[in-house]
Amino acid sequence: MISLTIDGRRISVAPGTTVLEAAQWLGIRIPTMCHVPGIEPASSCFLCAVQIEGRRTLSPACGMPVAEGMVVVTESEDIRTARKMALELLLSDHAGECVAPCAAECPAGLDIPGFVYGIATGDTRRSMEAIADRLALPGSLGRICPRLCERQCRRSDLDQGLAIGALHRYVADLDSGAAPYTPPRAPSTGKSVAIVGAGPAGLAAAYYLLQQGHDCTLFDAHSLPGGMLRYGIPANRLPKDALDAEIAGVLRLGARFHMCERWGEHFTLAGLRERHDAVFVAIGAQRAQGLRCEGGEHALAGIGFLERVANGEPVELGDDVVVIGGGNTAIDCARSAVRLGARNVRVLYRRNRQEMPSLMEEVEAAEAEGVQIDLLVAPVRLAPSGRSLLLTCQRMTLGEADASGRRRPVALDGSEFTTECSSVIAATGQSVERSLAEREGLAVTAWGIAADERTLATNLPGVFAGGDAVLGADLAVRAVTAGRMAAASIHQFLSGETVIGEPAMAGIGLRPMDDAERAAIFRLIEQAARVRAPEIPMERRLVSFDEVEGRLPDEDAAREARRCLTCGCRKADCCLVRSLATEYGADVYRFAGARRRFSQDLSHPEVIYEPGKCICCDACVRIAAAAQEQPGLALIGRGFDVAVGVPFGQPLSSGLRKVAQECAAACPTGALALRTARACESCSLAGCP
Amino acid sequence: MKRGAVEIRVGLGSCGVASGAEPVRDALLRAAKEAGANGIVKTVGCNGMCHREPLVEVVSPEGAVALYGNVTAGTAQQIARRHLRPNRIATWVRWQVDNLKEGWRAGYPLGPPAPQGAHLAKQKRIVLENCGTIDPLNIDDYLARDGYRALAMCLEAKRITADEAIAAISGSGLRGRGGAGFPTGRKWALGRAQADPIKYVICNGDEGDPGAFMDRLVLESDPHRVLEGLAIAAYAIGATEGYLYIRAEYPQAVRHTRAAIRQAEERGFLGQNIRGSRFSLRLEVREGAGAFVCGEETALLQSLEGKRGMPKLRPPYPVERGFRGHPTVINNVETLACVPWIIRHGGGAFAALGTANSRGTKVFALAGKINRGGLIEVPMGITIREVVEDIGGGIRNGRAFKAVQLGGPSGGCIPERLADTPIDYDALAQTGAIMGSGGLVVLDDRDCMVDIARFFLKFTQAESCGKCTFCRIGTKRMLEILERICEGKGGTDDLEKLEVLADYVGRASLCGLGQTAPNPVLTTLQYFREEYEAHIHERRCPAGRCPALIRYRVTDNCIGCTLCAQACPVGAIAYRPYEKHEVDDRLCTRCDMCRQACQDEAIEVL
Repeated sequence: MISLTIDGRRISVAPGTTVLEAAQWLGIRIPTMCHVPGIEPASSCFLCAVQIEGRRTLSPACGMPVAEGMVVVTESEDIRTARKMALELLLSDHAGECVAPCAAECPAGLDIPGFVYGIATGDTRRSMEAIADRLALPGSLGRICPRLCERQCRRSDLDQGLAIGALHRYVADLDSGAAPYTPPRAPSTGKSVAIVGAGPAGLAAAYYLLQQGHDCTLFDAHSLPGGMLRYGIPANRLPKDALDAEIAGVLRLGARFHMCERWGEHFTLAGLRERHDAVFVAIGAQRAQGLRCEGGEHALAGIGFLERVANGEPVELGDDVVVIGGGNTAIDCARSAVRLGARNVRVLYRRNRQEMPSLMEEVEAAEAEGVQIDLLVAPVRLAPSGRSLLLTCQRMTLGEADASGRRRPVALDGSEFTTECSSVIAATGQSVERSLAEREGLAVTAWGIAADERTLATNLPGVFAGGDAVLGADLAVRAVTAGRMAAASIHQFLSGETVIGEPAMAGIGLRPMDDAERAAIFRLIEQAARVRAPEIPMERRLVSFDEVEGRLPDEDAAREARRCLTCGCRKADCCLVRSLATEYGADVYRFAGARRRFSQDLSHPEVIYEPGKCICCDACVRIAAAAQEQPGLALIGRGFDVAVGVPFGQPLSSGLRKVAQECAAACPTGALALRTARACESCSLAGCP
Repeated sequence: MKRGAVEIRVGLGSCGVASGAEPVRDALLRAAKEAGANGIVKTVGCNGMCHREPLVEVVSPEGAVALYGNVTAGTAQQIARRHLRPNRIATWVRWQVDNLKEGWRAGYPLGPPAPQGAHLAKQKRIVLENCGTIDPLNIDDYLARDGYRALAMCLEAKRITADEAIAAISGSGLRGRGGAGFPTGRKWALGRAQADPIKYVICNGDEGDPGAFMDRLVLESDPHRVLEGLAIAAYAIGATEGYLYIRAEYPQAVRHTRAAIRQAEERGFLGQNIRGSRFSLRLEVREGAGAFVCGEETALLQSLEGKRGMPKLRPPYPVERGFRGHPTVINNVETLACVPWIIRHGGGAFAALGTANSRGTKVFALAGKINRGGLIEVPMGITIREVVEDIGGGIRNGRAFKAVQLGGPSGGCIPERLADTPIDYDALAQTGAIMGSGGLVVLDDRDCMVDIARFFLKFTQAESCGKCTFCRIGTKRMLEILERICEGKGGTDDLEKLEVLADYVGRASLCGLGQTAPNPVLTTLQYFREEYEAHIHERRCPAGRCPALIRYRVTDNCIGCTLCAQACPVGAIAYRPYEKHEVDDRLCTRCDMCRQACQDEAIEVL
């Protein structure tokens, strides 16, 4: 027997044992990537680097035989740096993307290829689960989300981006039938959380907190939950019953709602903190910014107007309506005005069309409904004149770019003109009501309540804040994401853990991508046009608040889903490089430089080989050699260009005939993956972590 | 060689052949035939004076040596006429007439033989003892100079036992000449102590450092010496089989070694029951396919076994588990070439040379900006300055001595101010360089140290086997940084990045290639950091070397001779006789041809 010391602990082992094995017997974990138990070690990746006393160099534990009196250290600043750097170097030469570009862009981090795959294969239940895992209120979001994801869709380099929004609405709508998906709820923890604001952020927080077994009570000044989704977005875009169905899902999990209770009037933050174990402040950005010109008080507030419409209250607008602003609220106001019977609706915006913050589809839909968009115009004065209003405007031109990167509008001298109208709606933005928060001791910023970016913790212990209340008026998808993030932090807080927020996985993208790489990706992809959602006829659009866009028919949805290129890595969830990069806090672009290019070997019936992701650990080479595969695999080339391949340029199908599956399971990254592997659950092989 | 006759030696090592020694030999043979003196022209290897190739050496019957360098077929004829006496009067008369005619035409002015005092004075030849003197393809030549006597001393009448041989080597203080400097005697003792009845000896002739050619020269010029050393190693550890792993890019070395094995077998110095003893040894040459990393012993073994040449983690060391899993002693060519001398003269004689921890001699391939390049053998302990100035004859063109690069891609740069460092394993290691296998490149003030580091790192990066993460990718990232700096695009954090990469590449790679790859970078950073900084912060190459950071300008010294315009390969200098020339920056590729062509120093680098 040989005795040695590992991290100060003595152990006696048989000769021939490796340091890695000895450490494992002591319960000391040393990370490895290239190591395959039972196969001769390669000792190449250096993740298992340890310091052996008396040696100048670090030693790979996987191949280092123990020696009498050996003193081993497995953890130190130096060792961590080496391991981190090894990962950073490997990632600098990695032609892979952990998650698809759409998913990487999605503020909610939705597994888009994952749920789309479910639609393509007819398993919409799985799709719903994949969506619900990351996104509360998917049906509402599917309708109104600006779909940043679609702009990143790789297909847009080939034909058109995938209709991701329409697809996730499709899944949510299907699910809202007789047996809607309700996520499992953990046993009650006995803790209770107060949520101020029952808008998208608050509802999402409740949705995830309830799943963890915490009680949630939502307080809201309105009579019905939904916040801006209900009161800020007209039914032609988001029907109230679709929203209600989703809120019902939160209710099913056990949420309690205290409606018509206003912060400062009916309760205080201090009181909530006394009665509950944690508080989430999600009050949104509700205060309308008026028209900043002379006589601005004669204009209707856009957001107030939309709320009255949502409540079914009568609003007298007259025939000639002018909406001022260029955001989604402005367009929603204009389209609502059309539906209320206004004959002549104009939107005035002080910059150009491409600077409009609203969705272009919405602008186009509004124009189709007869709305006139008047660009480079700003109001100067508004004055009543009998039963009508006189609006004086001036023409603008675009000057230098401002802080937001958009060109600043500059007034053209002598361009003033006056127009007569029956009403003016000012949709020029909303802001956060910060005074209440300040009074109760919450720190604030220029936009809203101050909260940590990752944990959403405020300056008050146990109080978290998120959504528009923190960011200022922003996208609904960011609000629901904030709700989910807050839920994770609050859960940590309630469990007595350190509050670190949602764990973020390290991830790498395929960049910069060149034409050859793009061509390699599109090599086998046929062009196919993007699906169009059905729309109701124009006659009905003009007179009712019926939803304009319908759900995709099943066939179209499946066809569209099959257009998905399923970007992202097949082994994103079981990739050792990625999980260790996360563990060691690797900066994936630290050593960016020349890198291998994306390519694919699809010749094998069981596995797909993507040499760009290979880390040259040669686990597959050794497994194939041990199984006496002929010709098997080999490392080919020299220097930086070394790659695993079949000798003499043969395809993978001729190199691996017996142990392809074992090789795919042992591959620490996505270089070799089962054809069937989309995510880890479908890769049920032994050895898959 | 006939006793009492003149002997003409012509060097036909690869270096000689490359510089045109074959026509020289033919001319000498013709002349000897005319003179009726067949058999006096002897083909030898290289004596190391590569800067004067082709070389002809004439040894008089009294033993006086006249050496001629840069010989052509024409001058060869004159040499023959000067030293040979034709046995027919008619030939003698014709030669005298030819001499007169050529004297008038001054076609081939043949100067007096070259003096060689300075070049050889400080050298001590043990390894190179026979190089350039004997015919490598003739075993009798080797035997005539005590060849195989050391082996015979071991085998015949059992005068030296295996343990005594090991003791002699240990006592000589001989350390591995391949670079790492492991004590050879200790390696042999470990080999001998292994219980396995099957053992191997291997001669590592996979010399791959750019600019180094010690092993090639010895194998080409004196192959028996290496075979004898290897046979003694096999005898000492108890091996009966051995291999010489020689890179395929050394065809002459391979040919000569194979021929030597055949001859030795015929004469009973190899094969079954050598010299009637119970010791048998079969040797075989294996050609390496040109991977630098196969010079690393574990990779060499893989390659020898027919696998891809990739290093393995040590332990186990080859001496415990090597070729085909059996104990294997691997020694470098130069190490083995020392062995016969040590056995013949005793360990003490070898140990008497050199310093406390570095005994004997070391062969260097002297190259770079030096007057007399070539292969030299010096006693350990001599200073770098003596090598450069006394043996090498100082810096070419009177420029300033800036540094030496020692040890090739695994070594480092030692600045001129440390040139009094002795050639000694430990003293050199202290400077950050290494003894290495013997590459010694002399640099002058026109050499950019960043560029030098880049050059060597580019080599190691391309030759990495790709196994270890740090060596495969880390050296690439380091190289990218160096390339960036040379192009004037270095960032302010690049040096810090370079240093941290160098640190971990050196400590987290399995084999010597990766572990030493950062050395050229680290030493240049240590001694010439300001040059790096000038590239980065001032976008300037102080040595005027890096193409992206320099321009050429014609000064008022220009006499309009058009030499530069004729030399320029891209037409960046217009052909305008008797006018001051101009370099068009946009066309100029910074190849330096114009400056080298100019006779009036009228082209300066900005």
